[in-house]
Amino acid sequence: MTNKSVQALGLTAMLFAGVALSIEPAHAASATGDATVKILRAITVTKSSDLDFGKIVPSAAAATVAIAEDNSRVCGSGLSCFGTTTAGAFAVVGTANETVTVAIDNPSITLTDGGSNSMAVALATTTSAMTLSGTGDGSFKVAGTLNVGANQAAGTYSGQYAVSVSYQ
Amino acid sequence: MRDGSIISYPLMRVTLFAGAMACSSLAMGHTANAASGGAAVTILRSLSATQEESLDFGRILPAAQDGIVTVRPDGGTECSGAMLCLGERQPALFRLTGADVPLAVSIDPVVAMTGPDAARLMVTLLPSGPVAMASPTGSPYAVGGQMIVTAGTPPGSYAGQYNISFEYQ
Repeated sequence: MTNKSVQALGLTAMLFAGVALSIEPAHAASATGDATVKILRAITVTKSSDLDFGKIVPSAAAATVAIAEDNSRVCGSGLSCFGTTTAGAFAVVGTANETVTVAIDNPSITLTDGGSNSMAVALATTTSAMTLSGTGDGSFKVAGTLNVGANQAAGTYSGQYAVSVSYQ
Repeated sequence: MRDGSIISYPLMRVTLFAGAMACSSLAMGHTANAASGGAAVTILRSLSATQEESLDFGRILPAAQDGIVTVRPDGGTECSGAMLCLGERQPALFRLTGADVPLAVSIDPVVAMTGPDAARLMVTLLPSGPVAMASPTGSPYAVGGQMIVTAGTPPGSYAGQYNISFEYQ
């Protein structure tokens, strides 16, 4: 074999080696799989303020008193309303940036004076859902409309209602 | 490798042919009994595996008692006890591209997902089966998982990785 032919073989071998390096057929393949989950923080709901209709002097005719979520009051015809009024307010703590739903479990309740006298209240909130803040905080308010009867008996009336906040 | 088959590549075949030529030239001048032999080869397409979907357990609200959440390879899910499972849950999905022959599957049996303050959740992986199939256009292979969520699991996002490999049989 001449030197030239030896060189040619060497070149051929190098070419084969180059091809072998550039082609990487695989009879096996590996992959990395990812697994994820998000564990949520239990939601806590705390009452910030009671729904307070203030003080009312009834009249000979039935009427209503409405408290809006901004604490404002609309006093029905014939009634005299005074004193401080507040909407119901609740603070929510949960998982940051999660969306939650809000519901009033019993939107119709009855206030009683501890005796036989009572008044009906219709509750409502404009917050049906909300996204908690980056720290997991949120809040919502509850408005109410009180049905004051004709010559409603004097006294302090009270009642309770429940709200629910859930992750979507 | 299947019974009776030899996996080879074009490059390897050329090299063997050259070797045969050299042996033939060396044998010239000698007398020998003639014989013929058979040869066969199966050329297989190169194999690749790509994850298209992650194994996702969604969002979980732990309960007072421990609960088990399961995501099956077929996409079915279970959430035991009073634990609340929310959001979309899905198995991992791998796309296998190669020859249309069976593949042996090996996978980590368990993957640890790490969350806030190095909290860990251990997931038992549920592969579709010990054998997978590839295809030239890509075939799916799913991996589910199951894990226990205790009442005291710290809230937060958890993530982990595992290894899976496929090999021509």
